Amino acid sequence: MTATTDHLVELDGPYTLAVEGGRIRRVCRDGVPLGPDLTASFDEYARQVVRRGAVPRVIKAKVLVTGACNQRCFHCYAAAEYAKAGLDTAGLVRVLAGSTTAGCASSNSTAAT
Amino acid sequence: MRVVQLHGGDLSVRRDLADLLAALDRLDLFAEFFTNGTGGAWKREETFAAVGRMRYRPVVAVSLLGGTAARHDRLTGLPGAFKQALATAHRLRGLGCPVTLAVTLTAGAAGEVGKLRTLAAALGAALSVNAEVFSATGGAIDTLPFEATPAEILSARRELFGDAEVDRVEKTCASGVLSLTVDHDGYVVGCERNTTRRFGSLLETPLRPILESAEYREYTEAFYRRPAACDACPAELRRHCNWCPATPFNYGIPQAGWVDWHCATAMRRRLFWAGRADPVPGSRPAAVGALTLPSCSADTGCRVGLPVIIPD
Repeated sequence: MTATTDHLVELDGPYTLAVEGGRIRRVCRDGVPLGPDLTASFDEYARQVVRRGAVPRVIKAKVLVTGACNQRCFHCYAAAEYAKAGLDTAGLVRVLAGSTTAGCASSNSTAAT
Repeated sequence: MRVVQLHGGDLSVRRDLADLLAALDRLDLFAEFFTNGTGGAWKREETFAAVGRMRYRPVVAVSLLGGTAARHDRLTGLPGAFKQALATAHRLRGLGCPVTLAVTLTAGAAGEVGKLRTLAAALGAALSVNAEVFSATGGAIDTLPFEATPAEILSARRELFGDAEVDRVEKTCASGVLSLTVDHDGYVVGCERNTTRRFGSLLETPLRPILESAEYREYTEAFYRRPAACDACPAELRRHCNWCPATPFNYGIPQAGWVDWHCATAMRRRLFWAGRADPVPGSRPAAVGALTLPSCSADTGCRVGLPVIIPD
């Protein structure tokens, strides 16, 4: 059992995405990181996908599982969402399963830590 | 899809968190989540057992509001929250999860950065600090007024935080292209900060047809086809919003006109604290709000000033 796994996720064309320590880290072209500026590299990738009219190979979904919270932090911007209960277990599992059926991205495990 | 970020609210108020984590594992998905570390799920052994059974350990951020129990408990409104949050972080680290202490730091807690570094080091966790200093967006205590000038903000920043690294921002979501958001009801939206564009429910439709739809294509095209002039933005749009397509001034496209005040405050802070741009020298937000950038706005329809208009 590994704590985290490093992956290269194939995107499209010459692009891959490095997942390191379980975190999405950098976009590579022909295996070479696009640059030290992470924001610029992700922006460049997104723009070239749109320019080519390609279907996005989405690799990450942020799933809002509940609006409820047991704390009332003074600054929280999510306070307006407290009343949203979210889907039930079966519904959420359907959503998660539905998100995997897109064939959006495949991954090659390159190393395990 | 490879990575799912569970988001709330706080996921630990769900009684079925262990079941959800098991489902993610069955589906061969990586999991990430933010949590306050104090919800009921973290009081049940079954939750930690589920984490321990996952092939890929979840990447976890535990939120803190300062480096002391007194401050954190007061600001969260939950006695004992600080101790419990750290206990949860400790358990998750023990299970091999990469953990970040994600700190929302008020001006009053500025002196606790060192303490937080020590806490993170003891846990083997990373430390991420997001400084909150403005008062007008529902955000902070002991603050600067939202109307502070850039010079006042920069001065306060140096006084409060010295050389500590705060507000380091890297935008790696490539919203709409590499990542998307699923709203509470199962509908796909482009970003959690702009849920007004909805593209179909994953309860009814697989993701692929949604991504292939003309509506989704139009959405991503509108966001990423920014004019070339924006790459040389005199107001350093790059620093202001990391070119975020979900921001309200998004290059004059039809979605503009919606303001997320949390986002707007953060963007303004980043712009000015970076010390790199002051669109109107010595200006206050109301003045910046009325700003149009004469060098390019005629071509781009840019509304870069919009996020810093005072709400009332």
